Amino acid sequence: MLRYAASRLILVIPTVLGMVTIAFFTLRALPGDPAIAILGEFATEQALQDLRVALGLDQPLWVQFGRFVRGLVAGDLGRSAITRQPAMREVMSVLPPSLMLAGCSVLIAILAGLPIGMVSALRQGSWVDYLLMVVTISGISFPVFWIGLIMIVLFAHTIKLFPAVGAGSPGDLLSQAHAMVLPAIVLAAGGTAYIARLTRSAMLEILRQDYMLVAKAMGIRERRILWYGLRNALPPILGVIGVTFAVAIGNAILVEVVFSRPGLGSLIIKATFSRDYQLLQAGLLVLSISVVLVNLVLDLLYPLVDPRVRR
Amino acid sequence: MTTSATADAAPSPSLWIRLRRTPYLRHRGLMTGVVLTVLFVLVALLGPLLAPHDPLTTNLRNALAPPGADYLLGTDRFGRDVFSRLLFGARASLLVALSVGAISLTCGVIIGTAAGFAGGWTDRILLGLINILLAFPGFLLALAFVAVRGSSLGNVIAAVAIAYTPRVAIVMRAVVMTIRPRQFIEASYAIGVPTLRIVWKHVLPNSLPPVIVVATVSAAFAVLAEAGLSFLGLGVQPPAPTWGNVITEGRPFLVSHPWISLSAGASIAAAVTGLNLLGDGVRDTLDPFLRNQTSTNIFK
Amino acid sequence: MAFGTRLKGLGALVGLVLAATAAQPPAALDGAGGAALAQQAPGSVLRIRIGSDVTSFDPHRPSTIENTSFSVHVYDGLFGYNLRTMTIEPRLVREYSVSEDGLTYTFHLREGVQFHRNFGELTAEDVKFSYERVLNPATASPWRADLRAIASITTEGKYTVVIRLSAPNANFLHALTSRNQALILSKRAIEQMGNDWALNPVGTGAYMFEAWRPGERVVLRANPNYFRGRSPIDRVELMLIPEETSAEIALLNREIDVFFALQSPEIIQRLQARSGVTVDSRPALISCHLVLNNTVRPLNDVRVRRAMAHAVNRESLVRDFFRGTKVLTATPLTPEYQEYTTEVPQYPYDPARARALLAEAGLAGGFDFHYVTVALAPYDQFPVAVAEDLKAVGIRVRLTVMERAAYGAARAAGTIPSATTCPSNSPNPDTLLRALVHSDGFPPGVNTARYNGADELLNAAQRERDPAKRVDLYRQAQRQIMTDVPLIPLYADRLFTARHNGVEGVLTSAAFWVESYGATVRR
Repeated sequence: MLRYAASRLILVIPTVLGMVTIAFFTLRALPGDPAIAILGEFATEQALQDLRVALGLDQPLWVQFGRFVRGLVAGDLGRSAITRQPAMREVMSVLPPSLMLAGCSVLIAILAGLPIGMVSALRQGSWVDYLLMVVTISGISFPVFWIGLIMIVLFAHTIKLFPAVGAGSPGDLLSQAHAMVLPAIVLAAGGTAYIARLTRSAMLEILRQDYMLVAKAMGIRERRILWYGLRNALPPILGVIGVTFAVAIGNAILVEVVFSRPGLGSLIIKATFSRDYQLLQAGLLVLSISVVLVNLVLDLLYPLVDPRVRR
Repeated sequence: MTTSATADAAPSPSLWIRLRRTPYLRHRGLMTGVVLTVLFVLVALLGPLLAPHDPLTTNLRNALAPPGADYLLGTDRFGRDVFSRLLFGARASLLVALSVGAISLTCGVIIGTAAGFAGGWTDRILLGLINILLAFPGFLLALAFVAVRGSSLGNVIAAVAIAYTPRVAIVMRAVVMTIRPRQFIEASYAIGVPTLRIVWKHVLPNSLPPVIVVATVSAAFAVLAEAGLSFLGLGVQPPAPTWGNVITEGRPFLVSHPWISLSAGASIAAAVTGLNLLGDGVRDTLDPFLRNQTSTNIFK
Repeated sequence: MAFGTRLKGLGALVGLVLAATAAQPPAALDGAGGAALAQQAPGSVLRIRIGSDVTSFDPHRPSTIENTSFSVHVYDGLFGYNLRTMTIEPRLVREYSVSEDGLTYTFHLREGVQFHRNFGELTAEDVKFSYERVLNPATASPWRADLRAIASITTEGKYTVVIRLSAPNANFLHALTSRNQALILSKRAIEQMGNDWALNPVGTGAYMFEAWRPGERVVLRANPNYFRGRSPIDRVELMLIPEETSAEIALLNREIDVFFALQSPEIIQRLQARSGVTVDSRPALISCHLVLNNTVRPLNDVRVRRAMAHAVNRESLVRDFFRGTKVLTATPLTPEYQEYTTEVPQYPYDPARARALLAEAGLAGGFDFHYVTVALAPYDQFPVAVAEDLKAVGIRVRLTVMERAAYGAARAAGTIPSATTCPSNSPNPDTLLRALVHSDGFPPGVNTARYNGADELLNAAQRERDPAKRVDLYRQAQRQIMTDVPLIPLYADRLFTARHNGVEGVLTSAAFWVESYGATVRR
């Protein structure tokens, strides 16, 4: 168990290093001139050159990379071009609302996806199964921002149940929770569908196992059998929660824009439109690393639900 | 479980023979997926012939007309025919879906096969790279890529392909790992068949179904990602008709003229559902486990 | 309508202020509000929607309408516009005098005005410091040119500032009133806090900065010691809601109280039809233009520019696209300026005439035109319609929508073949014309047409101290400009602000900002 945890922890380091490297080279080293992409086709040669110097693009790539890594180790990802504040500080200040939103949506996805998947599996082939699968396939087929727009019209405009914008009043937890409901549900649509489909196939697989047939034959109560089934289906489901979270973090950008919520999404969009390179890079890295860390936590939880790993 | 036993013992029959043997025509999901996907492709190819109006010509006098005989889905704020814009928009979506599907399939298969066959350090390094790329949230990576490299259809395709190639690669590698120890592969090695030939003759045909499923899913994701980037203003620039642009242009009229955004959203959903059902259906009908399970559900 | 008042001529204006100063004790000098401030229940909050985030609390640095809306809540100038009448009225100044030769201005400040958060009393040093900060090239203030007339600033005692000009300037009081260069900062706060000052703004205004939640809202709290009397509202929140449909729903649900700067004509019409909601509108000092780069072929041919002006159906743009929420203008000025005139060459919609002019210029087969605009509503939308009009007379248009930063850089570089430029302006016509069509405004300014044909008329107008002659010179300048059509004026803007009926007294400026001092709110 300890060895397992240690091996997981150690694996995080090369992953993060790799991500940093890939983020750096994807954004900088591919053919094409970021300076032109940033300043547009009408920029003067002087302006392009100034920007290249400002971003260090005039240096050889390995020098740039060295400088970047050195800054990173010191927790310094440069300064935002607009606010002149350290990019890292800006990103960290809006990280909590984004993680909160993604976390809530994953929670909803688990709480809704598990029962839907189990019911589908138990009633396989029935109209209930069919209906639930149609609903869940819509969950991954409609654009999340479009679902958000429709939800605003339905539940903030037509029926005035939830606020259309913002994240609630500062310091007022109740209003913040109230404002969280719609965006979290919208963001959860994809994850719910994903977990429901996975639960369904995991349960079907387990229900087919010989020991389940034996249990059934021995006359053990259905509810108890179901409980065994769920316990055995949990490891693969826990395995996809990390993916669900990663997808939620990506889609949170769209949902935050739709609901005018503060967070990394709005920050990344703002950085994108004002071509704030350092801020964009910091946002991408912090979000991606948070995904890695959440996966690490899930990995460490894995032995709790899967006895085979414990050994 | 007899099917799995035979599959292990001898080379599996070809994809076509298996498809013919399966009750795929009776699989409702697969059929729906095929119909939707064919429709999507036909609309994209024939759109310009079917479109009653030019998707770009504005007519301010006729702005925001309701759906009717002349304008099937009404007009947008510039008086452009929404129906024609959707027909033309299908092309951008199909192009993105096909390109991403093809790129991720090709690159993923090559990387996955190389990792699976080479083993040792090559495998470890490639697997590490794949896992690192997988750790990035796909849409975020695409967004950052487009943000830095400019918003064009080509960059959108490249961005989504980068995000999805590792997903194909990791499946391909897993398939190769399970096929490689089988007897017929070992036997081929023993009689001196070159590796590339083994890959071509035995590994690829056997690995295609699961890999195609993943590539289909990545094509579906590509359609959504293109729409999402267009929605943020980072996709194909207006006035070009894409489904994402039509949703965005219809956003101020969601309450008063909802058909603009609704029809574009429905088009996206239809195309993506089609691709997803197609992928699911292929997996269901080609996977012997799932095919037989109906009879073994103990709660029926 | 209360906002219909024309801008007063400058001569009349100075007289008005002086008369007021002489006749009344300083305490009664306040414009809106003052003794007339309404009562309001404690703990009241006013939520105002803004369309993009406040990016800087430093008023002297590059600014947006949101930044300015923030600044006018937190800072004061020596003078301010009465937003109901757009006349200049004293704020931090008690009284002032101008020397005979028009070169020396002496300002006596109000005594006892306190900066926020115990940064002490406002003194002449703060005024000198603030203006010099704008003038310092290191500040990179976009408003530096507005104070360029200043030759020297000296202080006499604690409350007197003497400003000497290098030449008589009929617009000088406007320069100390309009826009952000007029706002006074605390010298002590900036010197003490250094870089941190940018996130902890200190002013003398009706509201104190409390918190900034990036991407969401800026929170302001009433200044209990405000020299014009404490605001009836305890807290003002500037809420960031970019999307207008969401803001509309939020207003109907009373999640916000004021919907500032509505653009979408459809939403304006919808809200106007609602009970419980009032849509205020006022003419704005913003005009929108398709600026053509006059230095590149074939746009350097005036016949081609005239042909393009005839090709664009501006009536239809204003009537059908904007649904009457904008107004037509015949010159770069808006009809709100006293100096505005329609006695200029006009270019009515006439595709046949446009084709004929193109043929005359040897371009019967049309030409390739690169139409560049910015990704910001509505500037990324109406050009689609304009481009179609140009295509109809055979001009092959390529429309490029650039992201905001790239667009700004391209325009500043001056390499842009065409631009969609909509400068927001002060009531001083010189500011607008100098920026748009004077060689002073060449890139990095917004005169990307590189047009200088009206330079002499504009210079003469600025020197002229006789109001009637000045107006005449500005009219001559407009005739010259519209003869040469370096740019195509598309429309003049109106500012729309919606509020639910529980809100009273929120004021908007013709230069696109919102003020809430003196407002009240009931939920």
